[in-house]
Amino acid sequence: MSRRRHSDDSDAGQPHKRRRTSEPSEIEERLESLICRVGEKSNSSLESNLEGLAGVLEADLPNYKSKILRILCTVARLLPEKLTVYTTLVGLLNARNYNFGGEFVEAMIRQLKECLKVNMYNEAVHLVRFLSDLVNCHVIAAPSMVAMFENFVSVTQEEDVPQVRCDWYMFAFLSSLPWVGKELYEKKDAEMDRLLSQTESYLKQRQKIHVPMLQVWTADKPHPQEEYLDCLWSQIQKLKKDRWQERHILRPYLAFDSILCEALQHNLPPFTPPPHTEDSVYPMPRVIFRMFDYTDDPEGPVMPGSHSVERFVIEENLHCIIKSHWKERKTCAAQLLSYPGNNKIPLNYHIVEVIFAELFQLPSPPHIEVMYTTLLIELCKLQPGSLPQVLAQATEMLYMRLDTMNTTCVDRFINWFSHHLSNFQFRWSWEDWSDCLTQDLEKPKPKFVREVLEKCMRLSYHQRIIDIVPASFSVLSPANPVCIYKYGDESNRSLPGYTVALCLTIAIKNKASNDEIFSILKDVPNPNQDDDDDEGFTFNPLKIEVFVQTLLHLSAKSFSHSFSALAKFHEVFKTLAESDEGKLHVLRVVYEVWKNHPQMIAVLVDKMIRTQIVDCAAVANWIFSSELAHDFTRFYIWEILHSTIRKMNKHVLKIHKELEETKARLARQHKRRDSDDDDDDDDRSSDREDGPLEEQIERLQEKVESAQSEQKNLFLVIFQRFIMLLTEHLVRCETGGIDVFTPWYKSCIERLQQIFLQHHQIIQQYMVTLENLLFTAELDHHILAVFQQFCALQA
Amino acid sequence: CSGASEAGRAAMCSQGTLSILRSDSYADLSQYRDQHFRGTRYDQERLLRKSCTLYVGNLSFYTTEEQIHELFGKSGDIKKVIMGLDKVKKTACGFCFVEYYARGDAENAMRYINGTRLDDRIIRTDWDAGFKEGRQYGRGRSGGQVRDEYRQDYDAGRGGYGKTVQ
Repeated sequence: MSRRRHSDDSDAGQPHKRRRTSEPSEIEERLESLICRVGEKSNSSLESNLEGLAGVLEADLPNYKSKILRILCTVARLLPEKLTVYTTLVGLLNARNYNFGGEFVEAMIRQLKECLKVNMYNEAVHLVRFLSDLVNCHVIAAPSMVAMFENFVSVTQEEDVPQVRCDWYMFAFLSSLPWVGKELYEKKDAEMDRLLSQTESYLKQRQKIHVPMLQVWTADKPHPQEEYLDCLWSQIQKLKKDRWQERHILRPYLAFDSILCEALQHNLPPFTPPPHTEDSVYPMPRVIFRMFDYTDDPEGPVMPGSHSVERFVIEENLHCIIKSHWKERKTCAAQLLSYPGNNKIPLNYHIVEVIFAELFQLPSPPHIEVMYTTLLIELCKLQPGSLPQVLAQATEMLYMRLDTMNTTCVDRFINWFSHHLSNFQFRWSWEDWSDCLTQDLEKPKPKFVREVLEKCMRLSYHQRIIDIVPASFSVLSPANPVCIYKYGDESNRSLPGYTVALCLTIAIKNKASNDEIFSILKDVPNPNQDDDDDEGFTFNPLKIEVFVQTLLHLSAKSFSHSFSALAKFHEVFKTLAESDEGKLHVLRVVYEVWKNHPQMIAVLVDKMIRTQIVDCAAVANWIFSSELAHDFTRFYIWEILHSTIRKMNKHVLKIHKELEETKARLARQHKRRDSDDDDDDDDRSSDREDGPLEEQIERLQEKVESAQSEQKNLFLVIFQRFIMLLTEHLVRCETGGIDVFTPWYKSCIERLQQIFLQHHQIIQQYMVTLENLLFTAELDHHILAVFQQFCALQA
Repeated sequence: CSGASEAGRAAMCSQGTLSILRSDSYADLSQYRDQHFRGTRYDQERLLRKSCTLYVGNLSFYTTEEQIHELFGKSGDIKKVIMGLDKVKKTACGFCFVEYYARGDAENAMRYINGTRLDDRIIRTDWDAGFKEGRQYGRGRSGGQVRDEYRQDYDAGRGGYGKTVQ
């Protein structure tokens, strides 16, 4: 169809397209390709490929040394899953060219310092690990590596620094030991013992208040979810007990031992950890997610234990593969499945566990949720005979443990499972889950099934869902998403406003204008007042009711119809919803009309915020209102609230960006003027030039402040309402002598946690206000604990 | 968070990344170019590269705006869904446009929703230069999409046999 014209006119710079490049860039690409793809698609062994590559690079060193250095440093930082392949390569190069080895080590140290300066801590860990494995390749002398680790561990002695800073240095040290522990211990056992004992003391006195907030399950059975440093420490202790014997990591350098041990080693320069600054942002602590153990795949290879170092290495590498290839789902799936050690470990189980670990990670998954759904589908395509079964087993296990699963994680489980099913004709053995039918509908299992079925319906249609579940599940099936129009029936004609509703219906069908609508609505009495002071259009709930009910009913056919209606009668909406009570009432009426169709409620609320019919605070107040109490624990309510908060956040960012851009324009204008020395004498004209921009900046500054104030207010309203609701419940339970931990309470307190976790960066700004105003010492300790756990996250 | 840190981070990332990691084939432009586009190829490609609008094809005639909104909402906030219509019958004819507020959200749809199922059908997404009035109609002779004019197979979700077969 489209005759592809040659690429001359379309060189808009896609990296993979061929362009008329200059030679050096082509050579750099070739070198990069050779290095990154070493060992791929080759009939020879990896070792012989590495040897060949070392020869090629050695020959290229005179002309392309800096390029090779850059590529190798980048590979060290960005391809940690191939760590030992590249340390071997560097080892071989060092054996052939001692100076190059020295320059590489220097470049790595420079890169490490840069990473730490700009808060790229995750990549810094890869660099540290790479350096430590270079000890195994005889590039770096073991004593100097131990010295670096001594400096790392001594960070724990620093005063007045956040715990997360010390944690990172500890993690960088411990997580390198699977690779280099043996060698370091052989050369410097006394120093290593000292380091390990200092580690033990540090870990003992570390505070772990944050841990409950990050756990996926509140129960310790069948697998405890350990804090990441505790788990790693257990793994290293076990490794030490096993005399540092580690058999999982592929070490190509072993094949070159005779060459490498002839090489001269370099000493790492003394490394002082850069000091803590106000701008330092360290990684958040983590909890290790485990769902499988050796009992789960009785027929296959044995899964390494939770405290084995193999488990650590496998998980690290699989996470790194996902991090490298998240944009390319087919490549990612293929790379995961070709992880070496395939027949010695139950790889499918590890992959599924690592994927769910990311999906359920708190505060947020490393990548967008939908990526995991699609990745799992790709994996099922590549391993149709085995992976779907593991996935089904995992789903079953997650279902069994719903009672103690964190509400946020349940949300993600619901989204994943329903979307997954929609790709497989909704086939599932629902009868296996009949146990949930005998439980109270608010309990986690029936709740989960209800929400899943609702989401499945959204991806298909109501009758389909009725058809796919057994008849016994009808109690959990979603409502038919039809609109409820209170003035629809003749039998309702006695309702106040009924005749006006009829009138409105006819008018709207006849394409009435906003003005005509206003005049029809004028006749609606205000149940709230006796006199008519209608000139001011004060809050009249009946007017709102009649108008909104009628309009939504007329435009019920589709989202587009409803959006058009909101747009056409925007003026009427704005006027009726001018006051705060008006906004709240509009939301109430929307709910009354569409309570069977939560998806419609969500999109209408979104549209009304974007067109400023209601504001974010109104939505927050509506969600916590008594009218919505019945739906308070339903998933869609929280989707609406979080979507509302996100819109608020994006709005603030957008105006801020506009302000920065305008300031930059002014700065450029000044610069241009300053460089034109001739026109310097007329000061007045330069002021005149600046005028409009300066005015704009002032206006934007005000806008930013007002938006930030609205944003802060939104969070305060939400926290305040949570506190009121939870306190009420706690008081009622205490006076009544009943157990506090009802399903409602668990859900509510975890929803409060979710607010903190999902928007932690913004909320950090309000810590002082929150501490002084809302989360004070007088608060019930159950609620205060949530705040304290949050504070502990970056402490 | 500090501006210096952000700039430093950006510098770190731009001076050192690897082309194998830059690969983003799902979000790249396809070979298809709309023949009815008014403007040069260059203009069209410039628009495609910054577009927030996706064309979605191989939908069932029965797939609703609501289903599309639910599925495509998984990669970000949707600004608008425009259903493709048969030019004569003015009924759904198996394609639509999805417009996002942010390009990044559209990219994620290309990476993770393209090639997966909606209403049991594998749907296909592609970059669109932007909706213009008239583009919501099928361009086939009979009013639907061109592909439904000439196909030989029976597709229950797309009106049965192709138009020429009927």
